Amino acid sequence: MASSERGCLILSPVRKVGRKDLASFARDALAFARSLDDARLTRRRLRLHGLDLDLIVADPAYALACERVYAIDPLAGAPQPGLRLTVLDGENVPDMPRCVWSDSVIGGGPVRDALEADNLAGVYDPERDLWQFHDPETGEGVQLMPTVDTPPPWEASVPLRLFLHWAMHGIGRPLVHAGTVGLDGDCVFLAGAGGSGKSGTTLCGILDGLVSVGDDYVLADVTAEGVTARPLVKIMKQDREGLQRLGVDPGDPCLQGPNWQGKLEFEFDRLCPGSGARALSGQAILLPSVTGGERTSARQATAKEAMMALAPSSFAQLFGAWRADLSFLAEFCRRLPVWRVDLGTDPAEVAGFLRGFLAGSRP
Amino acid sequence: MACYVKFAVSGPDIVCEEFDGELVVLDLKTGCYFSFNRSASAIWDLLTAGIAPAVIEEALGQAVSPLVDNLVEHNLLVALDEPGERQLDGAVLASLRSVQDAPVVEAFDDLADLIRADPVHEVDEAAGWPHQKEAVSF
Repeated sequence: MASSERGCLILSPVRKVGRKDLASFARDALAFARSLDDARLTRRRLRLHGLDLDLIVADPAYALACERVYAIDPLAGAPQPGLRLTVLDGENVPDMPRCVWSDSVIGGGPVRDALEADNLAGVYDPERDLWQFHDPETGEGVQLMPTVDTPPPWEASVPLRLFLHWAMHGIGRPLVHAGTVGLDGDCVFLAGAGGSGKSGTTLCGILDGLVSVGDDYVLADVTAEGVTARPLVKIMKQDREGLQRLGVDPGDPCLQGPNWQGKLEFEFDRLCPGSGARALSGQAILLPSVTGGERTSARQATAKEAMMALAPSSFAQLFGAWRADLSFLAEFCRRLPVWRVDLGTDPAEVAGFLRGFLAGSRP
Repeated sequence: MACYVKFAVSGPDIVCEEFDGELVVLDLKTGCYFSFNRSASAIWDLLTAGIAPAVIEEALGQAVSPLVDNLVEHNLLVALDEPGERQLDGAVLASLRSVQDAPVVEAFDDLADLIRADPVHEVDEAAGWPHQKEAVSF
């Protein structure tokens, strides 16, 4: 690997860590990241919706991947809460801290518990030997990985997702695994497991002139005034069949890919100019399902049903802050009316249903 | 046999949220989560308030020990080494009388793999767990 390309390298010693000293290692890794000479690294300052991200990466391609995906807030004014996030790999930074787990058991639980005990967040991906540490108090994070190609294929969809989730929790605006469709400043959230119709319904809506802040992960905050959705990423994705069903030519120059799922990706505000909203006021949670019925129908559901639809995928894909996630998602679900929606097969009819629902004509 | 022991939530890793009288409970340690119907939620509230199961059974007129056993088996409740409360106040009695359905708790373990603690085997210190000795390291 790096040694054959770069000649002599000085590797950092491998530290043995376990529950008792993982937090100490994490703090050393954060301090190492802080001490690095910028000349070795690529730096980007990205103004996300509510967070100023100071991104420092050893591999310039990682910065490009983030810039390709993140939704930048064009109206961000005064300085926002910050996250200084450093992404290191052993090929470009061979002297980065390295460790090996020395306890007799390992897993997400022991790693999380060891870090939480010292007011840190973090995860370890044992298949890839990838560590992520976040210190919410200082607003710093560091990712350590053996090689530049360590991250899993889905990382490209929302790079550094967990860091953003943890940091956004700090400002009361965490990620929610839901799609959004809006009209006149309002929106509905679309929640459910993969395949339930979130992305297809979102795309169906924006092709019909509705707006959105995302079809997969969005930022949400719950205040006394209500629930607000904001974009985290500017990319949506859909498979070829789904695009064709909705009347989109898979050869459209806006489409990129296929990605790791075989889906084509696109900047939704480019595919449907004007569809990208900066903020939308949440009016309801819809739990869609593809039933093959002729017409779209809806029936009222409970906050608990919304919670059971949101929680599994949110917890599985947004690891490391479950206690806070449960509390936030519960409040999110309680604040909005919930509807189960059986989607019809005609995109125009589904879009009409959404438009009518948002305009206030509830079933 | 009537059970007059006091029960309590098994620890701080058991967190729950209530939705119009129904609970969702998450075990942060195992990743298992649970959906309680209204009856199970009402009984949970009494058990975690220290009321002895036998007292709840008497008031309800139905057995709650299968539910208690289930909650203990899933490590949501633990039996304490002290007697439970034997008095139910009027408001609680009225609340219990509104419980009509059988208590049901659905358990879900699809998140458990994310945090399960697995034994470490064959650690190569240059590579880190769980690589095998022959794994390429940098």
